[in-house]
Amino acid sequence: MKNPLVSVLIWIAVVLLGSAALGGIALNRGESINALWFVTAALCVYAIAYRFYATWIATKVLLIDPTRATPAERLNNGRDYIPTNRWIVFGHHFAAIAGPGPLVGPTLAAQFGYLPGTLWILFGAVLGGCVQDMVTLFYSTRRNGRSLGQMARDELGAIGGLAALITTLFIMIILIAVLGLVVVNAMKHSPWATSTVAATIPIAMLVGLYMRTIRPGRVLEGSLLGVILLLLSVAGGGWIEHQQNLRAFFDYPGLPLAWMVIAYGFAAAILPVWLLLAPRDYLSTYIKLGTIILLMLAIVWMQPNIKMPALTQFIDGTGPIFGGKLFPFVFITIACGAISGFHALIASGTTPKLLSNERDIRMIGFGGMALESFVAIMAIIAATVLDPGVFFAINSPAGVVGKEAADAVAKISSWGFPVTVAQMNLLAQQMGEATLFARTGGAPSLAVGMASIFGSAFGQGMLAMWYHFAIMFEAIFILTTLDAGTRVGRFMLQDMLGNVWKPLGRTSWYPSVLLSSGIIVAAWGYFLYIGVIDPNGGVNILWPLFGISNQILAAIALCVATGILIKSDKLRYAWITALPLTWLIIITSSAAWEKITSTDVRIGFLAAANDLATKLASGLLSPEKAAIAPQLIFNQRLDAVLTLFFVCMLWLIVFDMLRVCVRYLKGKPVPPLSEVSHHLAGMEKAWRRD
Amino acid sequence: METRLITKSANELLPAVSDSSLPVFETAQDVSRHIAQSITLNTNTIHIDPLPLLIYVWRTIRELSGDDAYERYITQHTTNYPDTPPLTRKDFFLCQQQQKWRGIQRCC
Repeated sequence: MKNPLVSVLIWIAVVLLGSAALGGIALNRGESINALWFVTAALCVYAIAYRFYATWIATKVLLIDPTRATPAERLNNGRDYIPTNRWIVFGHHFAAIAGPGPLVGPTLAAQFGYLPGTLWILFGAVLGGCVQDMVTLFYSTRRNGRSLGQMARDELGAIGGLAALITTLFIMIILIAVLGLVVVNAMKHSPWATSTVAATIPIAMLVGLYMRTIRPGRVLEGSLLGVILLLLSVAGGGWIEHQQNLRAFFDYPGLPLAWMVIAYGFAAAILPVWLLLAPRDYLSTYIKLGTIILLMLAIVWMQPNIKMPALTQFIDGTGPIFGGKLFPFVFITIACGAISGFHALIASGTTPKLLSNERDIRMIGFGGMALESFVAIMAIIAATVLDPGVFFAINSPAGVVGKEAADAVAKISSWGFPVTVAQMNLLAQQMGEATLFARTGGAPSLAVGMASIFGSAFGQGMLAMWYHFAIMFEAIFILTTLDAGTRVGRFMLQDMLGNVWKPLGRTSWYPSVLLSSGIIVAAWGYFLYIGVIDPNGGVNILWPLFGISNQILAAIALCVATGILIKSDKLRYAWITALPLTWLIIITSSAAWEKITSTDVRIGFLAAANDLATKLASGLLSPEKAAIAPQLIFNQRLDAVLTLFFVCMLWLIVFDMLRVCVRYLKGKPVPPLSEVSHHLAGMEKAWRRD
Repeated sequence: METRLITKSANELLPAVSDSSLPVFETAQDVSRHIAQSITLNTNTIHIDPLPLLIYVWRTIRELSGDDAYERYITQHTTNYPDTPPLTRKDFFLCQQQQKWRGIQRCC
């Protein structure tokens, strides 16, 4: 900005507009509020945070140095270390961090009303998530793109490193299970969705073959071919839906679908990457970016009204989608979109190896997360534009509201969210589904929300098409995360097993590949299986577990960052990471405490296990429930142990960080900073050439 | 010996850029400035020259998707290791993909 006065005036206007929009959202208690308020408030908050907070962190705390050569410049090998244009890096980074998390979490958390989720997404992102991503990206860049686990080991010690590694492996397993459950619930008894999702597999393979043998490396051609085929598969699914003899091939209940997903995950982990994983990822990235942009445009254009109240009565912990009070569960349910530990794994590793200048760290680290947070805001809009009655009818498990449509409708209406069976049937018919009752997991309700926004923007006649496009959009990148996660889990496990017996560490030795893939798939497959047979939907167990583990990973990343800040004599600035860290410790510990000790069977794992055990012993369960009860009881106890384990890991690394910091401040020896020494940007290549 | 310093971005490594008549866009401002410049206002006609912008957009799409990865690799390889033969296009992409999917690439 040339003129400082104009700049000041513009920023004052942004602050006023943002405050007005936020105030409007927070204080509105009327019938409905326009979605444009959410978009305005979000954009103003991100703009202010980016311009002032991120700039301050970059210049005063991290001392970002544009004259310092980045690893991409110093180690440029044309393959993984490549200095790249910052918009391109931004694109890669955003495509890597934005997965299904910011779409599913806010949808589930909408049971509390629109306000808590929105505020947490906005402020959690600019004060927590964006800072975590930016600081991790910076420290990893200064360490040649080392991973979070390696940084934890170098800066804090072996204990920190091990805790980071084990937590990463566990969170991956929980993440894959819960995402698998979301896909299974979206495909349950839906030949259209199942056939479309199934078609993505041969399409990806076709694209893989094209890019390997027919036209090697022609990424754009292959992707274009794939995207066209994917869109055709959505239409083709609609055709199959209406063929009586064909639809039977794709009409399955949850359990067989879960087994198929498990078998698929195993196959994907052992097949070569070029055949399935890499081409599928190209397709999912395009579909993902395209759909997000389309949704953004549709919301701004249509300006839909939010029908959910600001707060619902479920802040008291009696919510049908998941049990638990507003505090701490809204902060656990919305991890991605506000603060997500997984991002630290992307921000350390791949992205730092592409940066051409340290100056880009603010835009890519802070800006990338702000954009993901905006995606979460759009997910909350898509969930809350639905009639609340419809939203609860789709998302409430049968175990809570009853199996029969009439019971569910009566129960949901009694909460003050009127809905009728006729309304739900009409909606299901419009969306081309047999039923929309108890379609838990967030994907179907998000798809209904997206379809109604797209439908009103681009024509109502294609609602069913939009619905299944949205399902395909979610499923394709969930399956990519599932493939990629299983594979990475396999490598991590092989790494660990290699310490026990050398040959197991060889990533190309087939017995080891089969064994380690099998272990990883069995681990997430178990949680997926239990999630599917659980009459309460499984999501209410798995999603909080995932949230807790993801937030704990974020806490680990913030511990590493805080430790480095203090060791770099920046104690007075350490609050930028210590503050979100403290908040994460509070919410994860209290959520874990409640999940373990609560006597409410819908919250406490042990309470639920004991309740079920008592009922089983006294013969109160129906035969079909009694058959699965022992498995459910075991699972609830296992979940309690797992939660306890996660919290122990968290406290272990927090104390390890504090120990290192106290020792440093007392002048005692600590692991030295592992930062790579300063090389002047622009000099390296001239030097190498001479 | 040429004393040119390191290129600022991979954009400049692209063979297409050797045509010096094409503008190099670094920031959004560069793009908007170019659009403003490419519109010439006469008394009664408006002439827009979209070609350089379209080329820029195409180049960005190729770079973003990794479509030009092999060309960039060859440029980089011939500069730094002129004595060793580079990988073929097929081998390069196989290596790229193997390497890429060993680490965490996709998030929740």
